[in-house]
Amino acid sequence: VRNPQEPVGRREFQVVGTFFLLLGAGLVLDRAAPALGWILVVGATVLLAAAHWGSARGLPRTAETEPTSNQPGTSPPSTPS
Amino acid sequence: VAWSEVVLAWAVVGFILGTAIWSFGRFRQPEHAAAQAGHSPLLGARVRSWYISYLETVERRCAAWGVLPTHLSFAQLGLSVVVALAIARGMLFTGGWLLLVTGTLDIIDGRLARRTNGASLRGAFLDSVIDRYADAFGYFGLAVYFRDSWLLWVALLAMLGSLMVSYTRARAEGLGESCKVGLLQRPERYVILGFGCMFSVLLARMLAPVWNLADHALLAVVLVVLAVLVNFTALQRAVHVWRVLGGPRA
Repeated sequence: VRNPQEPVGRREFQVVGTFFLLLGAGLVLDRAAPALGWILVVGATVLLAAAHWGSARGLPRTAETEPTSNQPGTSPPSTPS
Repeated sequence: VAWSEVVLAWAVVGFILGTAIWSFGRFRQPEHAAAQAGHSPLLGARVRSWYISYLETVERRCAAWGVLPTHLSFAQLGLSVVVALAIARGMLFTGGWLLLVTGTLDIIDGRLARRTNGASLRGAFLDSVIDRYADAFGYFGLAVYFRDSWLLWVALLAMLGSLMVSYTRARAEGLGESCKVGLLQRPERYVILGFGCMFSVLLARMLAPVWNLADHALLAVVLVVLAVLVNFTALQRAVHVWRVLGGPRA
């Protein structure tokens, strides 16, 4: 289990940024709350850009945040439905 | 035509496809991950492993913050209600996206339970009950959205098939047999319905300058295909269990 104080890694920014980007896009495209949607889209885009460019400026690229992240024994099998 | 929506729709499609192709192309699947991830005819082991590689980050963060699997299960239930409300109100893109998030929570809670040694029979039972409700809420939203159309019946048929897919497995396991066969398991259903909702709106907005397409045009096709395939899967499982159980019991 990771330390709660451990710095947020690049992939966590990517996950959160993607969530809010598509949520914001939904609010715009569904014409539900366009103003709020645009704010979320812009904010998430900044976050994703920070995740992308920040890795070169010291944002952690911890082992579990990289594509070949599955360490033997760390990921239990998932349950199919 | 609202050009800002057209541009945003094209940008979102570019982002989704670009990110998926770029990230999936770079993904190197560890040998042991294929067996762990499971597979089905539609979502292979490599795709599942790739997606799980993203979820591991969330899992670790949840474990570090002391989030319990039951918290995620109830979050899944609450979010599925939001999905139903969003779709019923015609917010198809938002509903579809949140449906995919709901499906993701469904995957994470079980993995988190095993990671933190918190797996229990009670938790598994609660998870199954919430999964059924979460499954049904999405179709419930679609049924309300299509209440004045023949697609209402298609949505109800899809909901029936979806619940039967789960029931056949549960009943088979109650009789002592496993039943993990079938074309459309739950992750596939989430993916098809979630992306179906999202791309239906995206297509309508992208083509808005040249074609006045209804928001649900693509979704209608997806829903019909889903209703057929999900009932076919239930039948597949029923036939499989029928064959496995064999003749009279001792």
